[in-house]
Parts: sequence; C-alpha cells; structure tokens
Amino acid sequence: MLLQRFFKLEGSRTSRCRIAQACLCLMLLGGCAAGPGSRSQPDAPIADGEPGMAREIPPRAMTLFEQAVAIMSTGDIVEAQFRFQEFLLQYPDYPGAHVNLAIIHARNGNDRAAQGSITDALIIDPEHPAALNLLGMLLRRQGRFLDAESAYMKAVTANPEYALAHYNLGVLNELYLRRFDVALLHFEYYQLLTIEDKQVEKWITDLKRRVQVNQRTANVTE
Amino acid sequence: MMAVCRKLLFVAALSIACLPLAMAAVDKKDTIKSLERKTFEVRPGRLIVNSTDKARDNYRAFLDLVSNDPDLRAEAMRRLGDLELDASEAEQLSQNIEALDSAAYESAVALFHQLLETYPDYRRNDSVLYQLARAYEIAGKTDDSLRVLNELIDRYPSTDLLDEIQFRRGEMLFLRKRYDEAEVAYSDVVAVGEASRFYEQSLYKLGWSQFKLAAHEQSLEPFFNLLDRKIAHIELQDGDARLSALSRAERELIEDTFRVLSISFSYMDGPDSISSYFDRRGFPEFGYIIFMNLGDLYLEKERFVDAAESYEAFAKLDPDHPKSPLMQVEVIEAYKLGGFPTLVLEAKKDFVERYGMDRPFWLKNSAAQNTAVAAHLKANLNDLAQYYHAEAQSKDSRGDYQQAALWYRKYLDYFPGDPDSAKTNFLLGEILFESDDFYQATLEYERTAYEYPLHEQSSEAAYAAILSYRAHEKTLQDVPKTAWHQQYLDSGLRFADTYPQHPESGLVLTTIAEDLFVQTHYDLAIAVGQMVVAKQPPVADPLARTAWTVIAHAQFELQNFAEGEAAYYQLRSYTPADDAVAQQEIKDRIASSIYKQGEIARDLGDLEAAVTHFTRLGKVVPDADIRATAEYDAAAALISMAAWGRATSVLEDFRRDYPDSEFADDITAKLAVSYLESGRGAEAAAEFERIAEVDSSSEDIRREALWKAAGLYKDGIQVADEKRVLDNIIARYPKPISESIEARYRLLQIAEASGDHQARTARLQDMVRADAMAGGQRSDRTRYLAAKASLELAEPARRSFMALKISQPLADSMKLKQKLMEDVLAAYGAAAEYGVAEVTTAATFRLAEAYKQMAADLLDSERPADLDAETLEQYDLLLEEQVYPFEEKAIDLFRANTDRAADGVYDKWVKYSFDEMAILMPARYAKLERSEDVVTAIF
Repeated sequence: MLLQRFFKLEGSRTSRCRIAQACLCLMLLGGCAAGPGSRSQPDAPIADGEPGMAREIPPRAMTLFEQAVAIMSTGDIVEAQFRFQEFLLQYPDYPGAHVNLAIIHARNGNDRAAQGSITDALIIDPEHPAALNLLGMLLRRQGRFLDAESAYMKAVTANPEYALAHYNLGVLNELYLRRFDVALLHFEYYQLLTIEDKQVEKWITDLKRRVQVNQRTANVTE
Repeated sequence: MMAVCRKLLFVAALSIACLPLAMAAVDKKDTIKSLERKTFEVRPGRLIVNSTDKARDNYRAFLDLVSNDPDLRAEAMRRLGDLELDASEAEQLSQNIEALDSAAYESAVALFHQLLETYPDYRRNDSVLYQLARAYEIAGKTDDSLRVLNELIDRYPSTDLLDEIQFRRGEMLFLRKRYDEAEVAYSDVVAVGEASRFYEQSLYKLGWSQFKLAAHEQSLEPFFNLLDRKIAHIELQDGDARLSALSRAERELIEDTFRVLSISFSYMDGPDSISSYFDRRGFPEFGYIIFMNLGDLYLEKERFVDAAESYEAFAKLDPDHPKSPLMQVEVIEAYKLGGFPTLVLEAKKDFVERYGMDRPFWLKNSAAQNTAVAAHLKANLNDLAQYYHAEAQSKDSRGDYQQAALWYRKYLDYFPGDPDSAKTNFLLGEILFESDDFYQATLEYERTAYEYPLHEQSSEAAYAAILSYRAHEKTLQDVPKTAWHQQYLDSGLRFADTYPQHPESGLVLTTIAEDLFVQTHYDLAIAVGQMVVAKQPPVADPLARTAWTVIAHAQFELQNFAEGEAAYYQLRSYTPADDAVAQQEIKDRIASSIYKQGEIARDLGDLEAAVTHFTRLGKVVPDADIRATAEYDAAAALISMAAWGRATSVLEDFRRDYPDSEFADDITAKLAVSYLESGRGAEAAAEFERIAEVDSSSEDIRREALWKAAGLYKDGIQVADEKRVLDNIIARYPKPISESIEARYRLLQIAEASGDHQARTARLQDMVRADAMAGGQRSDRTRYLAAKASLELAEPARRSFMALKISQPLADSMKLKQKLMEDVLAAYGAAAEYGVAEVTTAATFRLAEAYKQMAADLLDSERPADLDAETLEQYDLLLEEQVYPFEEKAIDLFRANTDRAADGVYDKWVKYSFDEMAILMPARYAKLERSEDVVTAIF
C-alpha cells in the first residue's frame, strides 16, 4: 500500500524513484511504525482521489476559512482562534480549521486543547498530514516517543511528500530515540523534499559521522 | 228347757275358764304396755253365774304356776280387771241365779236322790246323775258334784255323756290341782276325738295338765294337735297380726298355747328339742313361730344367746324359708341386746352369706315380696363394711381393710343401682385407699364419680380419684408408670371438666398443668393453665400464680415469646412484691422474652421490629442482666439497617450506661463504623484510636485502626491529631516497614505543609534512616521515599553552593566553594545511589548543574585586583582551562540524563537536561520540531 502511494508520486517529480527507495529503507528501519500504519490505512483512497476533490465547498465557508487563515498568517492568533472557532460552529466538517486551531493552542502552550482539536480533525480525516504531524509533536512533549513516531509515520504514509513530518522524525530519532541512522534518512528525505536547509545539512553530516562511529563500534564489538 | 239352758251356761263357763290362760300368752312383739290398748270382745249370753269367779280362780292358779314374774302378774291383774269390767252381762246372769229359789235346788237334789234310789236301774240314770252333779255345782257344792260325776263314770263308763262328764271332771280336778286325774279325764275326752264338742278344749287342758305334771314332752302332742286344728290351714300373717284370721278367743287360745309350748321347750333342750320333735312329728307350716316364740321367751328372760340360737335354729334348719331371713335378723337383734358384738358380727355375716342376692334363697323367694330381706341385707352389708372400716381405721389392720372392701363390694354387687350404691362405692374407694390399694381405690373412685347419676359425693370421688392416681403412681416404675400417669392426667381433666364447681378443680387443673409442663407437653400445659385462670369464680391467687407460671414458661419454651411475655406480666400481678427471688425471675423471663422477640424479628429480617424489641427491653426491665446485650443488638441491627444516626445514639448511650461492658470494645468498633458512615470523621477517628488501645484486638487490627484514625484525621484536616496518630504508628508499629514508612512520608508532608523546616529536615532524615535500617523489609517504596528524601536533604547544600560566589581572597573562597561542592556531590551522589529513576535524573541534573555552576562561578570569580591586562588575560586563559573539566563533566551528566529518554525516561529533569544540552551543545541538541505556521487547505 505504502509502495503504491509512493509509486503514485512517480512522474510528478524527477527524483521520485530515489524517494521511493529512501522511503522503503525508512520503512524497513522504522519497523515498528510500518505495521500500524498499514493497518490503519483505508483501502480505497485512490478511488476517492484527493481529499475534497469530490466535495462541493460552500463559497461562504471557503471565504470564512480563507479569512481566518489570512488573519492567522498575520500572527494575530487571538483573532484567528476566534475566527476558526466561529467557522467551526457553522462548518464543523473541515479539518483544516481544526488543525489551525490546534496550532494556535499549541503555540499558546495549551497542549491539551491542541490535542482535542487534532482529534476532531482526525475524526474527519484520519490521514490529515498536518494534524498527524502536530499530534506527533504533542506526543513527543509528553515523552510518548513511539506514539509520536507512529503519528509522524502516518503523516508521511498519507503523504510521503509531507516534509515537516520527515524533519520531525529526524529530530525524534536523533535526540529522543537515539536512532541516528533513521534520523539520518529522515533528515535526508526532508532535504529532498525541501529547499536545501544548510543547518539540516550540517546535522546530516554530523549524523553520518556518528553513524559511522557507531558502526565501527559495533564492528569492534562483534 | 231349764236343763238345756244350764248346760249351755256350763260350757260357757268352761270356755271362759280358758281365757286367763290365753291371756297369759304374750305376743312376741308386745309389751305389757301394749296391752292397755287392747279391747276384748265379750259375747253376750255365753257366761253363767260365778263364771267370773271361776275364771279368776283359774287364772290365779295359772299365775301361780307360771312364774313370779311381776310383769306377768300385773298383766294378769289387769286381765282380771277386764274380766270383771266386761262381765256386766254375766253379773246380771249371776244376779238372776242368786235370785233363784235355793229351795228349788235342794228340792231338785232331793228329787234326784229320790229318783236314783227309787229307780236304781233307770236307763237314764246317767242323765240323772249328771243333773244331780249340775245341781250340786249350781248350789256351789262342787265336791258333791265331783263325787256324783265320779260315780257316774264308774257306773256308766259307756255313757253318751262321757266326753262332757270327763271334761267337767277334768276341769274340777284341774282346779283342785289333781292334774294326774285331770290328765286322765281330758285324755278320755281327747280319745273321743274330733266328734266331741270338748275335743279342742280337752287337747288344750290335757296339755296343760301334763305341763303341770312336768310331762313336757307329752304335753307337746295335745298342744300341737290343737295348733294343727286351729292354724294349720290358715294363712299366718307377720308380727302382731299373725293370727288375725282367727277370732279373738281362738287367737288368745293359740297364743296361750304358743306360750306354754315355749315354756315347755325352754324346760327341755330349747331349739334342739323343737327340732327333734319336728323330726318325729313332721315340720308344721307354722314351725318357725315355735322357734321364734322360744327365742322371744328367752329374750324376755334376757337369755340372749339362747334366744339367738333359737332363732337361728330355724334359719339353719330351713335357710330358704321365707321367714328364715327375719329369724336371722332376730338372731342379730338378740346378740345386740345381749351386748355380744362379736356374735352380732358373725350373725350379720351369716345373714349376708345366706341371703346375699346371689344365694339360693332368692331363687325360691321373690324379690318383690322380700324387700324387707333386701333391706336387712343392705343394712347388714353396711354394718359389716362400716364395722370393718372403723376397725381398719383404728387398728390399721390389713385384714380389716380387706373385710371392709369385701362387704362394700358385695353391697355393690347386690345393689348396683341402689340409691346408696354410689355412696357405698365411694366408701369402697375410701377403704381401698386407706389400705394403700391405690390402684383399686382409683378405679372405685372413678366409678363412683362417673358411673352414677350425680350424687352427693360425685365430685368428691372424682377428686379422690386424682389423689389415688398420684398415690399409686409412686409405686410404679418405667413404662407402667408413664401409662398410669397419662391416665391420671386424663382423669384430672375429666374431673375439672365434669365438676368445675368442685373447690379443688382449680387445684387439680393447676397440678395437671404443672405436670404437663414437666413432661414438656407445653401446648397442653398452656391449654390447661388457661382453663385455670379462666375459671369463674376465679381460683385462689396461689393457683393463679402457678397457672400463669406454667403458661408463661410453656409459651417461652415454645418460643411464643410475645405470648410468654404477656403471661409473665399476668404472673407478676400474682406474685407478692416482697418475694424478691420470684420477682427477679419473672423480670428475667420478661427480659428474655422481649430479647427473643428481638432475635426472631432479626432472623426474619425485620430489623426495625428487632430494634423496637431490643430497645424496649431496657424500658420494661431496667435492671435486666440482658439489657446491655439487647441494646448492643439494637445497635447492631441499626447498623445493619444503615440507620447510622440512630445507631450512634444507641451506641453512645450504651457506652455511657455500661462503661465496663464486655461489649465495650465492640461498641467502640461499631461506633467507629457508625460515625464513619454518618460522616462524623473526627469522632470515628477517636473510636479507631480506642480500638487501637483494646487489649482483645489483634495487633493487626490495632495497627489498622490507627491507620484508619490517621486517615480520618487527615480527611478532617485535623493535622495535630493526625500527626499524633502517625507518630503513634511509628512508635508502636515500626514494622512492617512498608507501612511505617508511609507514616513517615505523611509526617514529612505535614511538616512541609506546616513550613517547619527543622521538622521537615528531621522527617527527611528519619525517612532516610528508616530505609537504611529496614534490612530485609527494604522495598522499592522505601528506597523511593528515602531517595526523594535524600534529594530534599541535599537541597540546602545545593543552595549554599549555588549562592556562594568565588571572591578574594581566592584560597579561602575556593576552599569553601569546594567544600560546598563536595557536600553537594556527596548529597546528590547518595541520592542517585538509590537507583530510583525519578531521583536519579534529578540528582544527575543537580550534579551537572553543580559542575556547570562551578565552571560559571570560576569564570565569574573575583579577579585579583592588582593584575595588569596581560596578566589578567593569562589569568583568564588559565581559568578557562580550569573550567573546561567542569563543563565537560556537566555535559556528560546532562547527556546521561538526555540519553535516558531513549529508555522511556522523560521526566522534567530529563527535559531540563535537554534544555541545558541545547545551550551547552546547540549544534547537536538545539533541534526543535517544526509545525506549519498555518494550514491553508480547508481539507
């Protein structure tokens, strides 16, 4: 399934083949994340096409959402929170609004409220990458590192091109799970999906060195 | 005509001459007194001149013969008087004769003499001689008359007038006491036979003549021949009227004959002579009279035994003769008169033996005609029974008792339906009882009580049967005794039912009720007891008391406690107030009854009712021993009902009223629960503290109680009490350490809350010490708490270290700083040693922090004041070199913490460590997750 999704990406970008291979490696290395992810995926996303594609969005809803997004983009998160809450009173079935509210709550340090909004979003769209990414962040803060990894992996499974999740998987695996090789792959994937990040590039270098050191240590041990 | 007239007068004179003798016969039942009432008929025309005188003479002669008995003499005198009074006609006749011309008689004599001389062969000279004799006699010349008659017999032995002549001769000779000649004369008349007009008179006078001659045996023949003629063919009546079928003259003749016969037999061998005579002659119909007369004669002479034997002789001779029973009665009477009680008794026995209703007499004689015999039989049976009854009572002789019973039984056998039978039956019961034959007595009493129509002694017999039942029961054993006892109870109930008015019926019922109770027939005991108390008029108080005792106890035994209680109240009203023991027992029973009602209600699940009973017990019987138990149970029931408020009230009262109760400890426990459930935590806690002091409780319970108290004080924010209890727990129960360590922990929390740092420190140290000394009981928990404590204990050292700046003079400051750091390292090192994750991360962090602080403080240390710029630069370089190992050490320690995240350890100290590492090694640790600033897609 995951492979199918990866294959779907082929042709859209020149580097698709390389990404697919990288992800395959990630799955094998991540191990534990692949199982649950595959089980939770519905079998018919292809037929449905992309989310929202088959749906009619009321213009007013779209307008209100876009207005809220615009306000949020300006940094007025108080007004943005108000707008999204008001929007959701009228149109509770649009996960984007829930996710934005979660972002606002998380930014305010209200992780509990943030997780509530994420849950709302995931009820509507269990594979919403941004929601899953934010969920992973919240779970990491709680020390639930494997749950966090699972959330991130759902996000990248749903959307392998969702770079932030790969970034966060890199941080998670390096700092908290001390799986340097996995972290290295995610950071590398992140680099593939985004404009070259020099800081990340340094981390990749450092990680490669540490992976090698570890490998040597392992060899010596063996 | 004149001759015929004279002849008639002559015969009449003879007849009159017999009267005195007849009068001498005394009726056996008569007394002299009775003669006064008698009248004697004198038929006119039957008397002649001087007949009265002759009669007197004859009578006087007879009297001389008979006896000197003054009574008889008096009688004779009276009869003489009667004769004179009644002889008025005779007087008249006499006067007429007197008026006759005596010359005419003399002329007649002369004429007769002349006739005889003139006509010596006159064929009718016998008649002449006869007339001559008559003339002499009328002239009063009886000697001449006799002489003429003698001549007449000599000369004309075959004369037709022989019987009359001999009779007249006999009479004259008898008067002259020439009895042997008279006997011959009378015998000649008798020889003529019945054809003679003078036959019967001659039989009579012949007997008398022989009697006078003491020829008693010979005299019997003419007398009995006379009797045969006069009474053999008439029906004899009884008593005075036995000869009522005869004329008075005949009656008197017969009675006179009876009399002289009795005298004769008395001169002979008495009754034996009668018997032997009758053997020869044949037994006449009237034979019994002969025996009776003889007996009567003896009786007159106060020869009582002879009299009795005479009477009895007949009875023996012909026991089934209709008159025999009465003769036997006479036997008894004679002995009685003679004062021979033993003989009387034997005679009575003989009577019963002969004339009992089962004897042959009654086959030959109808009962209807012999009611008198039956009456005598009854009387004798009664006499015999009562005699032996009395004897038995006075002598206590077994034989007498048996005799009495025997006679009573015979009476009842003979007269079962007699009006007196019930009474006799009762007496039979009495005698049997007195002779200790209680079994038979019981049967007879019961028969008397229940098998006769109601009589005077019915109820008394019924009651006697009860007593007899009891007496007999004492002689029995085992099964027979049991069976007998049941009969006794039945009889008692029957008595009470049949004779409710009997004064003892209440007593009997009461006794039965008691008895049934003892036999555990409680239902019956109650029923009978109720009969007692329901009696009208009411029974005496003592009986009522007993009855109510039975009812109450029986109800109690049947577990009818409500009924039992009611009965005890009744019983109390009959129990004297000053009978302290009884009053107390009743109170105890009332209390028990109430208590049991409570128990039953409780067992049935009716707790409210149970509480009612348990609590009212104390009100009804305030000083009952069981009161405390009841009130305790009331409390328990209230607790079961979750009626906590009421339960606590009862329990508090209980504690107040029974401070030393055996239930005191349990009351404490119950109060604790009740207070707890009522939300009265503080009071509950106090109770739990009491429980902890109870000797009977196990150590576990005491310890648990203290914990409960502590918890309640905690809940009630009663810190001082809680602290006191916790200290108590630690002091009394240092082990198990797993518990005491919690007490220490709570005390630490209290000390922390109180802001008493000194106390807090002491608690922390105590915690560490407790864990260190726990030995085998050391656990993760003790280690954790000790680790936490050690962490806290390190805090003052850390603060001192952190606060101290390194200043000049450097040596002293450094020394102090170093010292403080060592303290910090030691303290946190020790904390980390516990191996408790949470404490280890904290200690690790603090250690890292200390190293980091040391490095920073070194860098910030006061520079020597006199350094120039170059020296100062070298000094700073030197410092940096000095600082580097501290920084490395700090990084190592922070990293040690961050590395724990991969193992799932991610507490605040790890987080802090991440933060620190982000500062100390930003290239590697300053890596924050990224999310989108805003999501623009609506989906």
